[in-house]
Amino acid sequence: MAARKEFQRAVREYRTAAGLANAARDAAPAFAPELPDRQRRIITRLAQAATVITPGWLGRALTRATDPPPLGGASGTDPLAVRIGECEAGPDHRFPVVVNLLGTGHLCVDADADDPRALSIVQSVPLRLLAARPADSFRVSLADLSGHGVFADFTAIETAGLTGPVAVDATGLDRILAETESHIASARRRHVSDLPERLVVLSGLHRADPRVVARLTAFAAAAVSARLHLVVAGWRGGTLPATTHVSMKGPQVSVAGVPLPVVVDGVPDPEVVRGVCADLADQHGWLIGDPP
Amino acid sequence: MSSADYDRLLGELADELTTHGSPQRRRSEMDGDLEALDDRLLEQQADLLHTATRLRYSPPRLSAVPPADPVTDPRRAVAAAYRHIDTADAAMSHALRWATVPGFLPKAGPRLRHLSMYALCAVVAAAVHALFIVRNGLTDAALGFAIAPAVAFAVAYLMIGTFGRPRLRRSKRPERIYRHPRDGLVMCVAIDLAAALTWMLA
Repeated sequence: MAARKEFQRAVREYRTAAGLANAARDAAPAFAPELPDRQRRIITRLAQAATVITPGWLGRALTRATDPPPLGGASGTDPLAVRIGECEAGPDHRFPVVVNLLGTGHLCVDADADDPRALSIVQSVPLRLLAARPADSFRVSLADLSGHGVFADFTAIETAGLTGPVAVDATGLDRILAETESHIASARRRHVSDLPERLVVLSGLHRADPRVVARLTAFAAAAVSARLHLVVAGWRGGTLPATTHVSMKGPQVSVAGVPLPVVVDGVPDPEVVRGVCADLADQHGWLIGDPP
Repeated sequence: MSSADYDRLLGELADELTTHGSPQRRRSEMDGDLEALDDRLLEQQADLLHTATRLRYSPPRLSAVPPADPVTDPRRAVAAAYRHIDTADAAMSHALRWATVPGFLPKAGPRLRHLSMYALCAVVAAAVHALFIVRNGLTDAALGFAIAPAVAFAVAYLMIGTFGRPRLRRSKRPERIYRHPRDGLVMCVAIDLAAALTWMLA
């Protein structure tokens, strides 16, 4: 009897000690470990490189907190990269994650617009590029089959004629693909620099007909040399040529298969999206002679 | 700096992190103390499980019990945890010491312990017999005067096998004990007779 009582007391004391150890671990002040010198140097240079290659709208936060840079700051022909998020290689060691797009390739996300991270990319990438590239040399086509109203805040540029009507069904998507194929065919016949640069943004593609995926796959390789670039959310096809694939399996995000911890930026502030689109529409109206 | 530089640096960083690991875990300057405490707790956990096996108890539940008050000073919490560990060690030693003596009347000699066991069983048997007499009458329960001391003796004899031995066995074979059967039988019969006489006189 006495032995059991003492043994139970020992168990009780042990459990209390284990609880205190856990609580002490939680309450212990944490500090960031020092990264090896080489890693720290690479991260610093990555942050510098990202700042250089994504100036102005291409890399700034899409919030109302800061003064907006002027529209159309980038040249009309240089390759452009855009920021999509941030990589945290270690606590307090971050750098922007940027994706090469205009003049280089395409961007495909396997998640669809019902995932806020994919929604962020689908909204922020065309917005950044529209704001950065001069409007006279850049055309954007938007399709949203997801039914989430992804481009609802882009109405101003649609009304101003900077983009065609947003495709929301198979017919609209077919129209955009036909324009795209026609653009590539024109590029084969004419000098490419005579054509405006085009960006085709497709959201909700997992709902599309498999034949659409086959058409995209067929012209993706030729599209880059024709100054045509794709941004696709809900991609279920295989690997597209000249494409940065962003994979969002669960909480992990990997960019181009590089195993780094990436946090995609939040969805752009709707006020900022509407504001940029309204400014672009005004600028376009002034350029073509209509009163703003 | 160009996009190509960025891509090259990104590849280099991925290689570096693959080779040397990603320092995601935030470290604390108390990590050394906490690891030492963890080691001590693990050691004690093993001791508790081993002791439970030796004492033939079922494995105890060893999950952590969170402290009632939130911990604000982790160093004091670590010190308190060590105090509890020391108390647990002491309690485990006491448990093992108690387990080396029989559970029933551990401080008494074997003869006194065994006779007490016989006496206890005889008293219980006499009480049950008395209850039987009250319910069914003296004639129907007459056989009980012979049965009660016999049953009390048998039960006490078996109980000495369990409670008369220490819980901690020195070997795998049960230790042989002398159960004082003659004295025990006399004790059982005497208590039964005394009870019967008391009944009759009353």
